[in-house]
Amino acid sequence: MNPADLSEDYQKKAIPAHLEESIALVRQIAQNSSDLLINPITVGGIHCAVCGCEGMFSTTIMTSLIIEPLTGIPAQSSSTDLFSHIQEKLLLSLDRPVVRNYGDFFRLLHSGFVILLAEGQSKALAFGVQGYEKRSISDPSGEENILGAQEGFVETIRTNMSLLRRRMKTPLLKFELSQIGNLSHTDICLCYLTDRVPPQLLRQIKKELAAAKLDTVLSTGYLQAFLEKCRGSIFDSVSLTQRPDVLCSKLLEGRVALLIDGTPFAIVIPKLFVENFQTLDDYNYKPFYAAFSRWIKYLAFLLAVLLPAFYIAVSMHHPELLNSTLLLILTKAEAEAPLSLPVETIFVLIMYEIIREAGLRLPKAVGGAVSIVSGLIIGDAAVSSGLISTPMLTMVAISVIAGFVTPDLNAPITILRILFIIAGGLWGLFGIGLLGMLALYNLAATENFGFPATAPLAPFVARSMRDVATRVNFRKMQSGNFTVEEYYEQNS
Amino acid sequence: MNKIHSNQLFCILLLSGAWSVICIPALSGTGQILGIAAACLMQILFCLPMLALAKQQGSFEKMIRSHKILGICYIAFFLLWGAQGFVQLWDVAPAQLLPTSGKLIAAILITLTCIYTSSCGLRATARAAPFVMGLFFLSIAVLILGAWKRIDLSRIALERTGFWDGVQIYNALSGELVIAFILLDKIKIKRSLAINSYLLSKAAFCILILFLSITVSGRLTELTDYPFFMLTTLSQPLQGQRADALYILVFVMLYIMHITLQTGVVGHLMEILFPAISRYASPASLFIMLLLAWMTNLPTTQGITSIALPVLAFLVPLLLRTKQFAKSIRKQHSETEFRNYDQEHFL
Repeated sequence: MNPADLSEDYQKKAIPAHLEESIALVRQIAQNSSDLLINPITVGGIHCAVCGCEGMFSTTIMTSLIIEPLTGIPAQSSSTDLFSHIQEKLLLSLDRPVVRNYGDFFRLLHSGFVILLAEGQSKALAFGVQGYEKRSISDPSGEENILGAQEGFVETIRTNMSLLRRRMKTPLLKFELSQIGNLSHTDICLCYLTDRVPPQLLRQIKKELAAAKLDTVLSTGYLQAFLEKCRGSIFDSVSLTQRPDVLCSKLLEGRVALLIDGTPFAIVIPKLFVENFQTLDDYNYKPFYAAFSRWIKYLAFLLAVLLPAFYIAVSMHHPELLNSTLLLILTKAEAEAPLSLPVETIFVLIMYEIIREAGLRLPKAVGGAVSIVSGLIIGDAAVSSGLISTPMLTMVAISVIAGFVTPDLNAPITILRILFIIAGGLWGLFGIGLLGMLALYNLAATENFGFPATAPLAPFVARSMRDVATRVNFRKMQSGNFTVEEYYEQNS
Repeated sequence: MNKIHSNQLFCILLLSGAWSVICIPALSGTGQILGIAAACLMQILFCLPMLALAKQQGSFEKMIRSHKILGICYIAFFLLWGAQGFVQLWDVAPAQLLPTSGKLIAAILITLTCIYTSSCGLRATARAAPFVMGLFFLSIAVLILGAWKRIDLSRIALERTGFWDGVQIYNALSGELVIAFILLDKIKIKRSLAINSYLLSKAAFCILILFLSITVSGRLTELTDYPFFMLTTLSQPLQGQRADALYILVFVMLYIMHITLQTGVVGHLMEILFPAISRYASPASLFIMLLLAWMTNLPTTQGITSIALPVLAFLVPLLLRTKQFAKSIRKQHSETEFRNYDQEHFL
């Protein structure tokens, strides 16, 4: 068989009844891959073969739950009787599908199933005895919180499903498992609450996933592109979470989640812009403090995007906005700096981005060294040598730190910050106004499957302000059975 | 086009109208305040036919489909009004001290921005409006705060003159009513609330600016072309620093809303009338507006809107509503006749 044609040929090929031929085909399709294990065995007087993929199943479970019971089966008159006996009288594994073609055979084999072939049978029995190595559940490093659970998703989809099920013990929580990727056959799982999910949302997501023709799905980004309907938007219209508790709260609001095997993140659809400012801790603190911290986040976002641009615009084009003391300080500082203010600011920001990228990809020990070199040596040296001015560095530092408050918005903040600096440097507040409108329209045009990112502010839903403008206590929050369907805007 | 909400309609109309109000040239006396109030009441009456017509959704669309020439008239109005907006921008730009090397550059930058904003569609404009509204209210609050200390009520002199000026100026600033007529077709509920809130809020804003101009700027108002900008210059909330440059932000945002709304409506009308070329409608209309503004010097206030407003926002809806009413009477009449005939012959 030509390896190039392999992927299309074997998928629907039926398992032949003759055992030797069947084993030969398995070897041929697998191209004698080193991790393929085929063990001939006689069960109840019938010639059989047990197939597995090395490292994918648990040897201990297989020995105690499969091999030992199989060897104890009394002599059977035919392979049909043998399979009936196994299926009706033995409980070898809870998950034991019947396999009739090589497509399913290899999918299950590579998922950690052990498969039993028998002479004279054009089908095989698969037993779920998965036992591959996996990471244990740990803190969600990207979504730290103080008062919530310290459990995060892991790379194994079934573990993630169990993490959700432990928190939502209702039959209304539905998991729909399927495979995607022509080569990877990655398990994906749609999760939703059947009584809350908007039917049109679910229908459209399934349609988009069915249309996604990919060879492999190795991370969330592969499918995210298919689930974001709004092209050209700089703001995300689907969110990612590493926390099962956060995901449960999203499902409660009628959203749909997508778990992907091999990635510890779940995709949540749709995402609203205001969600960038909501954290799990908001719901653990007293409402007055939660509301305060939320307004701090809104302010931090504005500072992160606009502060350096305003500083440049005011210093260069509208100095009358400053009082005389501040004006004198800034004039003195900028007079000593060799570069123009916008160039200086962009230089510092690009340096920061380079240092951040370097810190992200390096081992932790070296990352610490990068922080010391960048913070102490470069930062201090640049200011003392007069290359950059202290007021400008202060503004950039405040802006960067403010950006850390809303980590989900890191990408748009970074780009917008630089664009606003250029606009503010060239045309002052006029330029900032123009770019502000472009960004606002970009956000206003962002919608996913009919759900606008600007909801519940536009369209305005007064009831939702209890979790946007403020954060009311749970006595009020739990009433009303709110779902995102309230924000749905149908096209006429 | 997609549906929009009544509160969004209120926001877009008020913001577009607010830009016209801040560009009012030469406001002076209490007579004008009365004139504006009277014009506002008159406009509430003006809106009755369009509100009655909007109860049957899709009637405007049906009307311009069957009378294409009327649709073209509406497009022409928006193109001229947009061009007038550009002329206004050029006139106001020096008062705002825009940091660009020329007023044409400012217009080109705004046009480029509007090409993108109008490509996002009317629904995006409707969604963006509440955010701009927030900034607008904030700037008004800052303005009032700054003006508060300088208000001198003795500057108010009761005058009877200027009443008709007020009526005329205010009507000339109300081109949004034509937009309202078109967009009411897309509103499901609370149509009259949106329109009446817009009319009253705009009149209140206009009267507030006029009142502050009189009481803060006094006779300086007569010396300036644009009283609002004089007012912002004189009303500083802080002692040590000036805040008038901040109004540039509001000015730019309001102006972009104003132009985007017009191009968006042109795009919507083109979509109904000429769907094949509607894709290019927004950039093309912007280009035409800019060209018209550059080639001709359109009158900035009392010109186009004063003539078009009664026709496009009052007469056309009135005629359509009358036609609808007559049709329903005829239908009712024929049904009664048919029922009588049935009773006479078959019962």
